Amino acid sequence: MTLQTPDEHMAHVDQGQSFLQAKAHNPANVHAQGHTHVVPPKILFGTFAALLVLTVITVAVTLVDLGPLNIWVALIVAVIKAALVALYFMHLRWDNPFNAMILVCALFFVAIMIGTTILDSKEYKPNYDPPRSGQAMSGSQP
Amino acid sequence: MSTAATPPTTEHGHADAHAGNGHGHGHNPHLAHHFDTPEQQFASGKLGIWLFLATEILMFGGLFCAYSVYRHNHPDVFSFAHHALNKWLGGINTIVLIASSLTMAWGVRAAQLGKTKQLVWCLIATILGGYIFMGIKAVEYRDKWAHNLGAGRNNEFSVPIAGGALPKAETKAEGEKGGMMPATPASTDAKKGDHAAPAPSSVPGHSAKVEHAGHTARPAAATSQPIAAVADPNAGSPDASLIRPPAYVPGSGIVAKSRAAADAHHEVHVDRAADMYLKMGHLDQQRVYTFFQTYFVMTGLHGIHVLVGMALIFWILLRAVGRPHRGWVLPLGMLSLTAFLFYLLLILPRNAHTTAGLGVLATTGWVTLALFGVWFVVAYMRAKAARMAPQPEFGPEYFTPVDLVGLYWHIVDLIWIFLFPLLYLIH
Repeated sequence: MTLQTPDEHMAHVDQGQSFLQAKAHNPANVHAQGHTHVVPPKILFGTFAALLVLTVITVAVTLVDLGPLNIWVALIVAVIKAALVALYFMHLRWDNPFNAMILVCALFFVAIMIGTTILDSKEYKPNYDPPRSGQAMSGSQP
Repeated sequence: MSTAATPPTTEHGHADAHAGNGHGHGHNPHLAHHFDTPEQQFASGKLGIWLFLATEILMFGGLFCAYSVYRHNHPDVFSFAHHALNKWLGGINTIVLIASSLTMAWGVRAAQLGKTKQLVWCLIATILGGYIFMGIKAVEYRDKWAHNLGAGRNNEFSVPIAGGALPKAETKAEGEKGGMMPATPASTDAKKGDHAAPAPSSVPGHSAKVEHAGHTARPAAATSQPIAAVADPNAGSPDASLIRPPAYVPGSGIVAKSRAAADAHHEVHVDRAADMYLKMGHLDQQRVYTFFQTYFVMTGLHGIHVLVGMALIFWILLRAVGRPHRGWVLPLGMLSLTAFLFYLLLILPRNAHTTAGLGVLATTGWVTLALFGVWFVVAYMRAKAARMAPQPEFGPEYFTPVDLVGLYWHIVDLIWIFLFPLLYLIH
């Protein structure tokens, strides 16, 4: 089902004392979950390091004034961090692609929800902008 | 539980399991009977948790939608009010949560390899990350409540209902406390109970020192004279009775007092924030409280998810250690978590303002820390015992619960990754 590096294959062979004891005491305990992919520690730490760097960038960018770009940079960095967490920490990279599809669909529908709501807000903004002095308010507040 | 003597059925999967991959053994004891193979069971578990995580994303998506609408309609409110948040504390929280995600993923790996002691260590580290995160959160919240920047009516920016009483800001004796807490990490270790310190040490100079951390300074037209109430622009309209009058008098609360103190030290940040407030439209000035509402609901719900995650990981920890070796891990862990919850509840406003209340808060913080320390030692000893267990619960043949709880914890981290820049890092 998944490709394995020699390290990961060896990981299945060398299970540690507890597993060997388990096998000895419970012969019915076959490796019934199949050859599931085990994440190598290098990838875990590499992802962690990347996330740290991106967090530092996120905070550092706020010290520089880029005008309206600031929020977009922050959001893009957040999306990259989220992708790293999802792919490597949450194992989506080696998982059944359908699980990744579920995540993407959820985000897609949230995007629709927020996007169309903002469109609606833009449409009716003139109705509730602060009144000029002496004018009565019309429309309702959000 | 079926044995190898069960005759093969017509279903392929069932027959395959009993044909036993060449081993000729019966079921894996962890295989439930409504599944054909352990692989199917594992895949189903993963699918189920991902569907649940999708609902979590949608739930927080609703809150992000509310945030988007408020910020789109009142960008000045958010630009101004976010200065009340300490982005260094938020950054530390982000790093703590990412580190706990690392230890959780590492724990899943340890479970896959059957390394029980390593798994227990990783789970302990993840729970510790949760404690630290919620502790810093509690410090932030308590500080907000203490400065009357809480949720709803406990906020000096909240506009009273027509005919209602003024917000409680004016009656607070803690007004002389000054600005928000300093950004030094040393003082933010909530578990040490240092948060009790700010109360007695309120001096005017203190406010100037902490000014750089962010301040919701409200400008006062004249800091030493009483401010006239802002004229109601809606007075003549037919809807006047439905519209809240701005009965709140800006500049008379604790923020103005601290601003007066900070003025003497020519704090630039205060001027900038005050300018932002002055330049805001009158309507925006009345809507500043929406930022704090958004902040408390979003981070509060996220905090509840962190606590739930901690409880789930604690449950997995108990399973990993194994029932015969559990010893004092369960009762001590429950005590520790309960004490921590009690500590978090003590940040509620009525407790955060009296000297006795702060004393109870500090004591509870120490008690929680002590309980956690004892639990940590006991869990460590039990982990050593569990390593020798003949039948560890989690190993290559069954690690699903660790994996699924891990995914929940990662989603909690994911949501915070978006919350942090949107709430703390606005420009």
